[in-house]
Amino acid sequence: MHIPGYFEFCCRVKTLAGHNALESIPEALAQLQAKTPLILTDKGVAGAGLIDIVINAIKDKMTIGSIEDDIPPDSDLRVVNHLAGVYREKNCDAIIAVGGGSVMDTAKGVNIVVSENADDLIKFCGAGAIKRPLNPMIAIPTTSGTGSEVTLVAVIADHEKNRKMLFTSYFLLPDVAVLDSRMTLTLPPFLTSSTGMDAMTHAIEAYTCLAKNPLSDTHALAGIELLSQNLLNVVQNPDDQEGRLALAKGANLAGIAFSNSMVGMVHTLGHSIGSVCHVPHGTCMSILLPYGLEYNLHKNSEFVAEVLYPLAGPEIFAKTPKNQRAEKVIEYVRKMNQDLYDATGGRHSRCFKEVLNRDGKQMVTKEDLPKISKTALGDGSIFYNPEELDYDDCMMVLNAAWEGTPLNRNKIKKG
Amino acid sequence: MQVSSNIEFICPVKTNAGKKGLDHIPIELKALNAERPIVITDQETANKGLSKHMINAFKDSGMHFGLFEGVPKTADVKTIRNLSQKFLYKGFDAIIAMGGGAAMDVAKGLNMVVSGTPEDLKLLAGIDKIQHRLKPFIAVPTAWGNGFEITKYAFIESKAYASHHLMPDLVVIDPVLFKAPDTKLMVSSAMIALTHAIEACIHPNGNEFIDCYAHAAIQHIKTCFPKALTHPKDKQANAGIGQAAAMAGCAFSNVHPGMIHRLGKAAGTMFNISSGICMGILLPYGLEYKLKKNKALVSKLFHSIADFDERAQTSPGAQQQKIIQYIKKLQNNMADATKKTLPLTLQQADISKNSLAAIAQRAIDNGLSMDKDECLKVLTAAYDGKSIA
Amino acid sequence: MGEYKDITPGKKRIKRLYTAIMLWFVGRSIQAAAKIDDDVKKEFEELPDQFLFSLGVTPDGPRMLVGKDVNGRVKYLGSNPKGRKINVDMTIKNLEAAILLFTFQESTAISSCHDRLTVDGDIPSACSVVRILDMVEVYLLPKIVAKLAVKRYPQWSTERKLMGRTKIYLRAILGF
Ligand SMILES: [Fe+2]
Repeated sequence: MHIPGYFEFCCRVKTLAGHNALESIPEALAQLQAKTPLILTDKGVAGAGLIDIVINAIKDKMTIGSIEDDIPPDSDLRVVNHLAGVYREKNCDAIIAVGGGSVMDTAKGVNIVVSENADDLIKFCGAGAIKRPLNPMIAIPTTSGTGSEVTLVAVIADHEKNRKMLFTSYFLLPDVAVLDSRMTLTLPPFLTSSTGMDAMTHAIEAYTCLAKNPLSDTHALAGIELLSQNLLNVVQNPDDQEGRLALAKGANLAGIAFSNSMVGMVHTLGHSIGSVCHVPHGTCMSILLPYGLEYNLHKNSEFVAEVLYPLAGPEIFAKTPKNQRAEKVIEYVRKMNQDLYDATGGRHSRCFKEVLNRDGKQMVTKEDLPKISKTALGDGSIFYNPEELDYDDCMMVLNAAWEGTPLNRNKIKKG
Repeated sequence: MQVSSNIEFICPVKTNAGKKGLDHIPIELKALNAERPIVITDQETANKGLSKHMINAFKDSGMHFGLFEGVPKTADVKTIRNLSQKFLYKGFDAIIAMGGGAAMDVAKGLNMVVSGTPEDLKLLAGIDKIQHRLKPFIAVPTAWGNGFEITKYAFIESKAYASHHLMPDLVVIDPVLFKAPDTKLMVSSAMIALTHAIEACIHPNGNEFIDCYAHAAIQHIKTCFPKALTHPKDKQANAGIGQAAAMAGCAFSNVHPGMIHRLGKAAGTMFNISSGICMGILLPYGLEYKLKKNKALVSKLFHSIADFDERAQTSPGAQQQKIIQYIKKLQNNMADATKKTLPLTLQQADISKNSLAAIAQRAIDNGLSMDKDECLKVLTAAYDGKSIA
Repeated sequence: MGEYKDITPGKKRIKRLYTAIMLWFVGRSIQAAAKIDDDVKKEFEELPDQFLFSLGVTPDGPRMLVGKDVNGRVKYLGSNPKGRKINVDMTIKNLEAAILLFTFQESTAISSCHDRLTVDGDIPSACSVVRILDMVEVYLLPKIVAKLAVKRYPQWSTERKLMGRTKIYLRAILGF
């Protein structure tokens, strides 16, 4: 076990998980002294019928203040203020957020406004500026990936002033995260696969990057095991409820792990490709994960080797000689990507040149790589990566990940 | 007990562990919207000169605090009442408890009173009676305790209190506070932590989230306990046991207390032995009993104790034996470190054979749901130091 | 309640002074390095006009400010943040954490992994600041110490390192 000289670990979110976990929401809200929740979500989630499931699960036991299902993907301050108005008008006393990152961020923003009675959110911007418990909030994720139901940050854009506000505080953690298999049951296979690999990346980077600690480690390992044992199976059998629940738990555990230990260069580069070329986050993660591992291997092979057990299981672990386990992990991740590629009829990408938009055009061209590399140098996750990463290093990794060829490990500058 | 397919987990405790952990307390208080804490500790901790570390941690922080060094050996209502008057009169806004079980219990009691009304204390006895979040509470273990410090439980005079709101917002484990321990007390604390963690892992209502805390606790015991036994002055190793106790407490707060805990606590209370020593004695026999009853637990438990190589190389059939062997080996390490003064059976602990039935009865009265004869099987094995018949 | 005392914890004067001197020195060294090292210069050029960053100990501990003036020149701007608009604010959580950092027991990276450092403000600029601090550390510290402080010790020519080091030390102390 790796015990760092000093560490901090915190996840105050209550977890409810199961095939009918939604039914526990009224009781959870009652414990939080709340009676009238405002349900927040987006059109996609509502269109998939997921809100109906939530409502059916709770409506007999409580009054719902209002259901607001039009949070846009590029939600901003205006949306937050509008929804805060609805919250007040309908006398709500809690928020139930159903969806992915954008919904969660918006919900957190609304909660700051209504709890602090704030007319200007900027006062609460930055690290630790929210100093009091906010009103009750329940988070229900609808993908098994981001882990945003257990993160203590929120990003809210202010399109009028053309700025992004970043909030971090332990009080931004939702009070309860509800993981219910029904919420992810209809997620299409290729989204299941890429969001699943996002979660896998959270867990593996949490375990192998610089800020790991004994508690983030146990969460990461548990996450890797659940994700690895179930991802391919669920992609092939989308109706597998047990598998869906296992993925939801795995993604949640991975989320807890990385929000306490941070992530490294897979996210550094992935965020940048996302912002320059708008490639979905999970796709970037799937492609980049083996490269991140290869690049750092001379620094953290001991930790990577340990990942082989939860990732590939006891037999492969036992069969692989100790000094080859780390490389086996990389090989195994590549094979997972290949299997997912096959299982999704080629929709799960293995390298960036394969990533196409709706019109069949390449989303990332070789000409984009310099801009991506430059953006990467400004991403905070770069500091938690075990090895230094400069512009040339980013270019080298991106070129390989674009083509889909392994890194030439002799060319990595080792510090 | 109703077994539902849904799982539930909560751990409101933040963990800050390691070098200079104490120095982060002021900024943590600020994040909890507090700036005027009362620090309470017991005489033993004060006599060891540990309060000065807390004072040092607040230098240059701009914060002042009140220091009370008179927590008695066991928590009492009188101390809580006096402290609550001080708390309200002086306008404190947070509680820091430093020391062992009694300091934590007083802090929890004080928190119930100052977050509500003085009459509250007796009304809140029992399970889940607290409806609101209490004042910020930071726990700073400095010595070995009863294993309930970082849990949702408080024991004040004859009453027990259980609520997640009683758990500290933050636990700080700083090696500087873990010096010159009493080996027997350390052993007791380690055994409680191990028992709590193991019983949480194999609990029928267990889940992956509980396991994360339990596994981390067990790994701390595995890494730090043998070292703390052979190098009693090693602060890191000793702090590791404190860390294990805290993590095990978090896991333990999410399940009902298990059989080994209940029997050990009953035996300890009745014969005035530290309950950790009793749990340590009972552990191999209690586990043998449980594993025999439910084979599925074997691999689960082996998972929590063994490292990856052992797990990959041990056949399922050999796992049970290895678990028991591991615990017996720990017991022998403990016996060596205490120059064989540590009892390894109930007989060696001077418990008479005809009181075993009374121990079983007491554990059952305290909530253990197990047949009395079955309890006796475990107790008898632990008395004789032989496998279960 | 005989065992009760009101505690006024006081200050750690020597540690405060040491940290203040180190911050002063680092601040002046950054100003010097921005003049003589091309890579540091380049990092600063990328930063916005009148960029200002601060590194210090919370609360009310020693602090230093470095910024670009209207002409784009990099200047050490003393220790008083009052009334200034700070773009990147790096805060060390307490004096002991600052001592660990400035006695080189913990590198900047390890310190932030240990949750002892918080960064507020524009993240890409903060990344530049950390790279600048790393380069300055390589200049100021002997290799054996700097190797622990940075993830990858750069392969600079001996000339760049030694000449640069002499110049930065001189300029930092003499203040030009
Ligand atoms: Fe991610």
